[in-house]
Amino acid sequence: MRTYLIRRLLTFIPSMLVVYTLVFVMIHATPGNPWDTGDKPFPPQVLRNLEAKYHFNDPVWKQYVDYLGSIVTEFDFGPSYKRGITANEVIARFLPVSIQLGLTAFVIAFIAGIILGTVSAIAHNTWLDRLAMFGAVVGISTPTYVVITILIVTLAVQLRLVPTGGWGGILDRRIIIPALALALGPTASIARYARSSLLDILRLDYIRTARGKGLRERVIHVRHALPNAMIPVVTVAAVSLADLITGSFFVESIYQIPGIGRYFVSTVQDKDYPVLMAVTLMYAAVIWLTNFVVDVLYATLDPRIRLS
Amino acid sequence: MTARDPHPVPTAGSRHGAARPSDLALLHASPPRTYLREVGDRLVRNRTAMVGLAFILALVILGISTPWVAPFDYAKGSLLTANRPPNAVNWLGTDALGRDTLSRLLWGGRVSLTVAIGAQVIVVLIGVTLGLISGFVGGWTDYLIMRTVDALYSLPSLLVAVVVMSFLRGVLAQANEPSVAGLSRLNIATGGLLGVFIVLFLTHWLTVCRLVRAQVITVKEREFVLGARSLGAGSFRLVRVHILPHVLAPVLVALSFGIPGSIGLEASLSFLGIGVTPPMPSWGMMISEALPAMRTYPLLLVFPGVLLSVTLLSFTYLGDAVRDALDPLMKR
Repeated sequence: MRTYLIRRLLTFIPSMLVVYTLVFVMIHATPGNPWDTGDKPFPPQVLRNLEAKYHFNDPVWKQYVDYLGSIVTEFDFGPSYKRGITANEVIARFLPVSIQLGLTAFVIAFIAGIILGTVSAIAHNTWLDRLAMFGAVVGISTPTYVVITILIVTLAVQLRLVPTGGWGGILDRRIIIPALALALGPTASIARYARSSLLDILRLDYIRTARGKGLRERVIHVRHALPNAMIPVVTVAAVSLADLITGSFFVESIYQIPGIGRYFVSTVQDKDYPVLMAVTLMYAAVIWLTNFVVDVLYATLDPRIRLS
Repeated sequence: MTARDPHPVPTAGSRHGAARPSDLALLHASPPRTYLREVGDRLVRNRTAMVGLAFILALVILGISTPWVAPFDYAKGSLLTANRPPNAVNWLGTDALGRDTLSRLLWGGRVSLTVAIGAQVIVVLIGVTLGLISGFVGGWTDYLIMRTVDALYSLPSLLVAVVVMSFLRGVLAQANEPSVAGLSRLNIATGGLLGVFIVLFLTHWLTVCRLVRAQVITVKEREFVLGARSLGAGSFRLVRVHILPHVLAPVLVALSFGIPGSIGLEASLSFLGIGVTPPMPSWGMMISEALPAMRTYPLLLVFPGVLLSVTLLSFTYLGDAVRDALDPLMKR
């Protein structure tokens, strides 16, 4: 177990290195530079100074090594080309907003998903089950940008319950629409997993034993079946969590939320490479961490699984 | 899949040498039930899946016949007829530039399906090949392919898509560069679809590759493969005859979830304005074009949004059904 954990932790380094290299190669293979302004180009002297300032004239291998060095030793991703702050500040300023929104959405999705899945499994093959599962498939197949626009049109424009955009923290009512829009997809997939996992468990012998000794159905479902059924659900839930806390481009840009998700697209289009590198590595690190935690959780929740 | 299987796998009865007359009678009473036939039967019995399949088939037929069926041109409009609600001439109304919504929906559906199905064909070809190599050869080859897959997995597909798209746009824009001139012309001729194809391929082959590799690893140690190997079958024959059929089921499942995934990602890209090039319509682009008028003219948003969701819904139901049908132990 301990050697497994250490070996597993060590894979962090090559994983991040591959991501860094991929992004670096992509950046340098893209034609044009960040200061291509189209019709009205900068004077050549200005361009030369900008290129010198940001080390664009160094040989490519030197840029690769120097940048990697500054990330590893000082955790410094460099200045944003376009925004007047450093890439670290972009993350520090906007990631917390995405984390708050994502966690809110996750809590909604986790609770709603498990309740829906459990109800569905217990009411297996009744109209309630079919209705819930139809809802889940709709939830999985509707893109977030469609969900959020429907929510804005109904809740904000027609019913005037909440504003049509903005951000004021977790306790502000403006969190309702984006949190619901983000939660719908994960709710649906958690519900589907919880249902099928619970159905598998309910067929097992120990459940029959529990019935045989005369336990009430509620006790069987909640105390005996649910904990075991949760194990595979944890995996999907963790993947959703990683996805949610790293921000959603669509929800954040449509609802005007100052989160990190908006930068996924804009940094590429502006060629703001330091921010692009910081955002990508952050995302990859979160995904890596999630996978790691899921593996460890799995072994902890289910003693039959041996990590090796 | 209800069609007669051209290569029926011999059933147990016909294989064990001399069959008793009673066996023969049984054999003639009903056609041999092959694995594929049973899967097909289970699939046909699933009503929701069949409704989904009917919807998809209707879309495919409409998509193929769009150039003749669409009542108007997708790009031509008149400001005099802008933002019309549904009427006798424009059945589903017109958009902000006076273009017929129905025609644009039809052309957009054609684009979505072409992209999704085309990308999945390449995904399956390359994903299966790499997965087979990785699982069968093992060793360093396996390590290299799998670490690449892992690294690509840790990148959000939307981010990969945006980065690759901006890279491709930069490269393909250099139309006078001889090395990319052909590709560039192809991209323009297809309305910017080439780039979307490449992005979809790059983000979707990972799953297929992983699934195939996992399947190959479990199958290649089994007795019948060992038996074939000891009878002198070469690597190529082993893979083609004995291993490939076992890979079919997971690939089919991955495919039925990969197609809606591709449609969704293409819609997202076009929504962001980096997918197909205007005026070529796409459902995602139509949704993003409808957003500014969301409050005053929500119908414009509703049509492509609902169509996109229903299409994805149909594929999801079909995918679920395919997965259940392929797994005989699965109880509903």
